[in-house]
Amino acid sequence: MARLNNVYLNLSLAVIAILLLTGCSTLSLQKARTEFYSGNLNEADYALEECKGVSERDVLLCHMEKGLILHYMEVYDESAEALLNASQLIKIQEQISVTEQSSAMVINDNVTTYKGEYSERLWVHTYLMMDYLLQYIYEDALVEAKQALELYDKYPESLEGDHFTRALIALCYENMNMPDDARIEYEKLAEEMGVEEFRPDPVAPGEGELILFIAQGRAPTKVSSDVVLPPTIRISVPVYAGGSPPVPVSLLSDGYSLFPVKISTDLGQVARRSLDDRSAQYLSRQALRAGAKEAIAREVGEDTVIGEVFARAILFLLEEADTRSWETLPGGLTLIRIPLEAGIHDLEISSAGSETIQLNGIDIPEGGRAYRSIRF
Amino acid sequence: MRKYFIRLTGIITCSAALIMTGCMATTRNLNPEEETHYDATYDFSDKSKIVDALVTPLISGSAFPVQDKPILIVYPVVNETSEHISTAGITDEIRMKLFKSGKFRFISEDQRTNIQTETDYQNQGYVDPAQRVEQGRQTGADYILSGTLRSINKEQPKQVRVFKKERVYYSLDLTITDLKTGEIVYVDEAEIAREASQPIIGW
Repeated sequence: MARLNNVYLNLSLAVIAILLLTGCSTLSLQKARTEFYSGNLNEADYALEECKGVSERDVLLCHMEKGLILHYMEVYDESAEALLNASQLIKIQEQISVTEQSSAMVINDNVTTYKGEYSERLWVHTYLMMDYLLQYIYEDALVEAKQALELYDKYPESLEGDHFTRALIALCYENMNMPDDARIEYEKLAEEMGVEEFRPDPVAPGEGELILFIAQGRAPTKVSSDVVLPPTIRISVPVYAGGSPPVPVSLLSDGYSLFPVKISTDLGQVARRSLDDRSAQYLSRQALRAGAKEAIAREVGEDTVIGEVFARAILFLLEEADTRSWETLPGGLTLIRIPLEAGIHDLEISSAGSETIQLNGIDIPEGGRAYRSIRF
Repeated sequence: MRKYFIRLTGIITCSAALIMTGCMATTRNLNPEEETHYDATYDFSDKSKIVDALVTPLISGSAFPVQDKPILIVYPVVNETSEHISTAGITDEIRMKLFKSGKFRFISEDQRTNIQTETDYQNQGYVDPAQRVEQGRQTGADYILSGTLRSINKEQPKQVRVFKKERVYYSLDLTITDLKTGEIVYVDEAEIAREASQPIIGW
């Protein structure tokens, strides 16, 4: 009887500890996301502070969310700083922790450190490229372009649908006067888009170029998809749900309609493919965990039937899919290159079914580029 | 009772000592000449090595036999690697080592705007006319010194393994261009190749 009480006590304490551990870490992240989507960017940034209050398992998410929030606050240097922290952390976290994996084997994947989906790792570099271009720091933008290319090489099938990032990489090469490297990226882009050739026209004398980074909607979030097998085996896997793909945008410059080159990426589509490519990895872990939990329940059941029922109920409840993701990402990203006469221009950008954004007093340098990042 | 008290005090003292030494912050000076690499990426040991390899032949005089004390303008080394490397440090070290050799003279590219601001101020009437810096008397450069830092990274392909290997190759090229003729009068390159391995599994 005393042993049974100990089992109950230990299991109850473990459940409380796990619930506390997995629950509280996301509070500040959740607050930041809610404030961000309510349009309170300063509050969203404040909620995350220096990521010090966030659980170590979710620090990567904190840096990613912070970087994106600061990007849309137009504090591009601080956004780059946060995203560089994220980029560095991704590299450090490549090592597999035996302790974490052992805990995950009997609890769930939420107890492990979040390492970011392949697509999210790429978008850290995408936003860093944008941050550096918006500050006209072309060398650093190229560094990020090269790091993004390393990811394209590492996970080609997961990431091939991200045309926006590929076009951005080509632009980074163009800025550094490396036309051959830009050409290679445009050739890859044309192949991925299924077109014969793609290459932006060079600007005419007396003109410059306006580069717009347009973000629309929300990226899908991960939800738990559950399958229950007898007797009490619960398999819970993450799937992406919701999200909104990019919709057409119309542009007016000084009262005239513009029809420039647009390159779009449906972030939800890329994220889903990225998660699918990792499915073998998390499904095999699920199978191992189901086996381990069944063995624990049977072990407890050798002493008492009630104990087994109790243990099964707890282990069943503990099975939760890891639904953590970078939630402030947009649903779509569009790169627009607009050749304009050198000088000051006013621009009006409308997104189908959404509001219109005015960009006034944009100074286009002759033979140069001006950059703007907006979000609908 | 006394025995018990002594034992307890001993345990507490030992534990406290262990905790204190474990938490104590430590610092030590490093020899900048000593090579220390934690991973395959570029670090401060590389900077000195790569700069020395490029500057030594220039100082020795045999590689760049030009007129006495040519005037150089040094343009920032361009970073074409896949790492955020402060190439300004490389540029400064090259200039510093060449300057200390006493065989070259330099023009400051980064101070041009400040020089302009200062001379403009002096000519606005605030400074004694006898002490004003006369405009249009700056020294012109004979040569442009420029460079590019490049890298090639190669990671071991995915396979069953315990360690992940990474190879990195860095090259810094240095070019001297004659301003009068546009002719490239000197080119040199320094290289570093390194392999590092990291355990895939940790605690």
